[in-house]
Amino acid sequence: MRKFTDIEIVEEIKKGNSDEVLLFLYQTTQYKLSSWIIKNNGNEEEAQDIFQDSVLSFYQYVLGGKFDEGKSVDAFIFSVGRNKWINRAKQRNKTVSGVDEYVYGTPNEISSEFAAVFSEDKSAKMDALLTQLGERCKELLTYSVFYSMKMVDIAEKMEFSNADTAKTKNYKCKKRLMKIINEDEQVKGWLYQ
Amino acid sequence: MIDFNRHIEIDNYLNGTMSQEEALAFEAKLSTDAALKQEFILQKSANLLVGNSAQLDLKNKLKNIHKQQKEQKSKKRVKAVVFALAAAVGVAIAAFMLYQAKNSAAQNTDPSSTSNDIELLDMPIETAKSKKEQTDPIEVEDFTEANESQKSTPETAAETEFKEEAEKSSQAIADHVDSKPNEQVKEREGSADGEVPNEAVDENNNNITGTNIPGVGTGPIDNDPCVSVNLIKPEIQIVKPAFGGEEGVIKLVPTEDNFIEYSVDGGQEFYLASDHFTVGIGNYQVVAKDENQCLSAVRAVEINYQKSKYVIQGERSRYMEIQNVVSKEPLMFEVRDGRSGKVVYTRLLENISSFLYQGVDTQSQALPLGTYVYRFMTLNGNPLSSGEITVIR
Repeated sequence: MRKFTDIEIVEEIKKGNSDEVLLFLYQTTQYKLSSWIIKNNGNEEEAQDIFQDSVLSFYQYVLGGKFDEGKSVDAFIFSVGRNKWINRAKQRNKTVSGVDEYVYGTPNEISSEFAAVFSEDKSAKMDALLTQLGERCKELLTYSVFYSMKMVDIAEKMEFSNADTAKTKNYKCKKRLMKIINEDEQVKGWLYQ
Repeated sequence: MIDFNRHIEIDNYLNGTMSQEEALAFEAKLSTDAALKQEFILQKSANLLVGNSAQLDLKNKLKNIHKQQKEQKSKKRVKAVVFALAAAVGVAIAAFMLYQAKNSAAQNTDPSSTSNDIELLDMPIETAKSKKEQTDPIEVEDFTEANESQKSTPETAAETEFKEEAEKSSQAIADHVDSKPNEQVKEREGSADGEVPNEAVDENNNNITGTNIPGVGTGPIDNDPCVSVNLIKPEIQIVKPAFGGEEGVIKLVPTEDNFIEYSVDGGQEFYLASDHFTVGIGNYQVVAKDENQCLSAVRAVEINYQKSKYVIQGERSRYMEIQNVVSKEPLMFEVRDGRSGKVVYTRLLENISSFLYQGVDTQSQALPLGTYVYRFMTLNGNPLSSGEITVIR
């Protein structure tokens, strides 16, 4: 397994390279968080769920440019996960023992345009719409919209001739997606805010 | 082309690359142009959908990783069981063969040969025993993940070495989490603290109220490039803990790319953005400088002691008191200065049921006013719990 420094993790995420980073994050941060959750009245399923959500929050934070490169990724993910569990445990009237309210300066609410949470069913249906565009479009849109990558970098990564080509292709893919959404009343209803 | 340009404009608005004026102008257009608004909503929805799918994808990848890791572990388990069984069977066969050998030897009445056989009998059984001892630890009994990591087979030792380290240390801390002291602040004399200043600081780095000194541009005389910069207030984040890279009080962390130098004293002394400012209670005037030497507007930041969990006010007998200190082993309690990180007080806690700290240093002198960081640790230095104390008059 490839190892990453904290700075490298942030760089890789911004470049849209997630597979190796995810494995590394799992190997290095999952156990501490999930053990803590299990020790605090959580079960394994809940622990994994919180861990996954914490990694997502971390991604949102990095991609929103809000992650301080001096901070420890490990500590961040753990703190975020701990907060999430504290909140969830409260909702379910479970007790979390000996918790200091003090956390390493992580915000409790990570505001991000993608923080809206859709249920699994809805997510799956929406994803199906995106799949209709084909792998290439899906990949391109993911890089431009979620990872906020620059066209020139996307062009290189996806082997387009140049940045303009990528930009045009991106526009076309987005327009197609917009059309598909517009024709699906159900999904449109979920997304319109 | 018009459509493409409009698309780009909406994009710029959605990803925040428009200036404030441009954004306001765009919003005005939205309220009057229905077609534009439709397009805008649809484009925003498309972005939301893409973002959601991206996260779904990441989450599924993590789920798969978890599944794979579990499978690998259970394969190891199976290997271990098979190995143990094989060894056990091997032992059984050996024992059986020896038994046979002994029986056939017993029919031989030669005393010398009998004693030889007995010796022969002893040795292999001992080897068999030591083999069994070797296999016992691997035998499958209790499956917590911690146990698993310590039993990795040699082939994968290199791979899991890193993980083992992480698991061992986290297991150590996890073990101690149970025994963390229960913390309660107790006020002996309960006069409400009327001296507490108004909260001016938002922990989460959102806009901070306070006195607003308009930015003074002392950039180059042809001020044009600086004029727009002078209007910008530098974004900073307030992070706790922080000092010298260790646990401390409060760190002001610049979060923008445009500025490369920052000052917390209104522009008298500048430091590189990478040097984070560790500060205690007080008022700070944060000014930033970009690469053209243009100064930003001043952001006033007030750090007050409401942020600290424990407030010690010796004269009013308000101390930090922790009851029901439950710990299996002795603990170290340590207090450090919030700015410098210097240790001002330590105490070993053994067999006590409650603990009172009166905001003093090791010579029992009252600490100077300010913010401090406390920490409970095991004797090896493993941190268990930490927080802040503010000493006020």
